[in-house]
Amino acid sequence: MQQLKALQLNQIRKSYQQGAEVLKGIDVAIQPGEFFVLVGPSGCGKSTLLRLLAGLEDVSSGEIYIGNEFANRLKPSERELSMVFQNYALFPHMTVEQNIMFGLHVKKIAKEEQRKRCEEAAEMLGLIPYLKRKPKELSGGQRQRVALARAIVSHDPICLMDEPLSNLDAKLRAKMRSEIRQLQRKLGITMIYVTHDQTEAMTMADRMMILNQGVIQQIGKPLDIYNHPQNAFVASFIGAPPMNMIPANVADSVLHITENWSMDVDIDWQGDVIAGVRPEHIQQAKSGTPSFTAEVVNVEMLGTETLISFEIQSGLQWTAKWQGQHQLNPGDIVSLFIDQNQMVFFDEKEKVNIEYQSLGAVQ
Amino acid sequence: MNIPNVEKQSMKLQTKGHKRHRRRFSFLEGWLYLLPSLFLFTAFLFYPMVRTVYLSLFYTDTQGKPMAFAGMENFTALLSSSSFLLSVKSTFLFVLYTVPVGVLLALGLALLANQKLAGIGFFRTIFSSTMGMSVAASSVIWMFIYNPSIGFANRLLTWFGLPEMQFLLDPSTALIAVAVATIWMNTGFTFLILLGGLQNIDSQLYESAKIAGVSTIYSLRKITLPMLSPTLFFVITVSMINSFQTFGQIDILTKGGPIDSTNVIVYSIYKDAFINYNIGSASAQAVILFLCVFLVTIIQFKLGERKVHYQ
Ligand SMILES: Nc1ncnc2c1ncn2[C@@H]1O[C@H](COP(=O)(O)OP(=O)(O)OP(=O)(O)O)[C@@H](O)[C@H]1O
Ligand SMILES: [Mg+2]
Repeated sequence: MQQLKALQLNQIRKSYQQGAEVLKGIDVAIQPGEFFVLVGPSGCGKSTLLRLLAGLEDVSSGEIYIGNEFANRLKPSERELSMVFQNYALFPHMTVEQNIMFGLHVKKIAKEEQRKRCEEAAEMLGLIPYLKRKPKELSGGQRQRVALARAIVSHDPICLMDEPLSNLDAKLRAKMRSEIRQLQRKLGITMIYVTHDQTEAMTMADRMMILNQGVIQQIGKPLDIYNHPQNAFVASFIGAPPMNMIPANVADSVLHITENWSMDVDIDWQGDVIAGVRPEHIQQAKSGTPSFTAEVVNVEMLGTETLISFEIQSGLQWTAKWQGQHQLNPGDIVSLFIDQNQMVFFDEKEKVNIEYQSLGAVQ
Repeated sequence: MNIPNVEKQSMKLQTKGHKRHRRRFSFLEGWLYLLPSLFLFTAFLFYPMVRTVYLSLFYTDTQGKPMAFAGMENFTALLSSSSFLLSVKSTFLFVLYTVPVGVLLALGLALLANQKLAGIGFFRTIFSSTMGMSVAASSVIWMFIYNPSIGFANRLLTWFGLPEMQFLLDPSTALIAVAVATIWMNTGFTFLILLGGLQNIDSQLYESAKIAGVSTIYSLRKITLPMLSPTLFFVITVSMINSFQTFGQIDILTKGGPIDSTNVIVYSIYKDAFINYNIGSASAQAVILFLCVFLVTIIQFKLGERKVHYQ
């Protein structure tokens, strides 16, 4: 349908007139046709990066290449991309149809072709009954679809989306997630998708980039990042509930977690570490397995699984996720078991996963 | 409004009297809150209005006391008086000179001042500064500008090699000269309101247009103007009503002259009432002016309904 386009960012830096650097050297190559998700906490610079790509802001330094073309000085319209804004940016005084077709005349597309594309997009997104309505007469989800349709009709090879689902309720969000993903596959668009919701990132991304305070934390496939977080920030940001962590000490292949709980580990490390384990890897101890006990503080029953919070140290709570329904009450004592192979260790100072450090200091 | 009473019978019997009492009390309480503004409106608005209409139907003495019922006499006399018809013409011309130019000028300035440039705050302040100036003060400024011998306007003409003009003394230019001064005086207010309207437009709409690649003119026509239309509508209506009621600058600059060329209706009312002591006729003129403004405003609302996009 259209030629796929790659994107390449070299050492992108951005600071606004007043204040500190917002993006501190972003290096990333986005493959043609990829669904690339940008995720990070609020204020980390996601929107800023997207606006740089769109050409709505100028970079302070660094290079942007769009499909092998040096794009730093291209105007937004010359970059051949479409953008979906967080609040959709629909024109309130135009009908859905006019909104979708807005600006197509610039691309020298004949009126007939414009109408055809509009109809195609509306068909694809189930907007046909609403073409003559104004945006204010639509529901949030429908508006969101209009914004999508507007991005589609331009037939641009790259699409940027800035938290397009954040105004929707949980159910609709889940539905739109898969719709957007399918649409992107079908049209073969290179998608750069911003979100602060790690579930959205995990479920939609081909690859994702985690950003914190303008610095890249990790780039990779969702599962790789989940299983091998580069550092403690990534580990706690990706996954819900977040990874449990605790400062600990390794001496002669024995991990001392608390005064009365230590276990053998198979790592090549001496000294202080931060030990981390995902909630689903803290299991109910069967008789005979090495275990530790803790007092339940809170229980959340989710139907298919049960979340159990317990205090591992005074002032530090961990959460375990058990399959199925478990009748527990606060105050109960539970026996817990952790497979040492499922544990992740971060060095105490840099908070970097030691698995990456032993790979010959990747940093 | 009739609300069907679905309460149980016994309850109703018990509480009926009590409820009516309560309802009457809250009704009185409502009026009590309205009382101060009702009083002010009655004293300064409703009563003068009614009184004006009343007086317009009478012959009056020099004190403004009604002497004899005149019926429509005052009105028919006015409509056949060439001097009043000239006033009507001057008024409409004055509105025509001031409103479109004034609003367009303010819109242009507002569009300029809405750019995100360093130091734009300075220009915003300058452009809106005439709002803080009284009609009297600015009229005096313009009197100096138009002064035939020392005025800046004539110096400018000379500088361009044009013949000097008697702006306020020439019947063919006096109305335009006052209109120019009025436009200048009103720009501050109009500018400020329009700038406020512009700043209310979501900047993402423009960014979206930028990505689509439409021209500046196109986004002005298709985004800015429609989004600004409620504000524009408000500004046009207010400017028009203001313009119909112009008095101060005319009193200071021309006193209705020369040869009645700037004798707009309001000024004519003033002259008839307080110089000729013909209150009956003045009241009739006031009623006619009121009807004119009323009519124009209604027409505007009718047209506006189709063109204005309220959010
Ligand atoms: N126009 C601006 N001028 C100055 N600082 C800005 C501007 N826009 C953003 N910033 C700053 O840049 C930082 C990153 O902002 P950005 O909007 O990119 O965050 P974000 O990651 O999109 O956050 P969110 O998830 O809340 O949307 C913030 O600290 C913000 O204060
Ligand atoms: Mg953002």
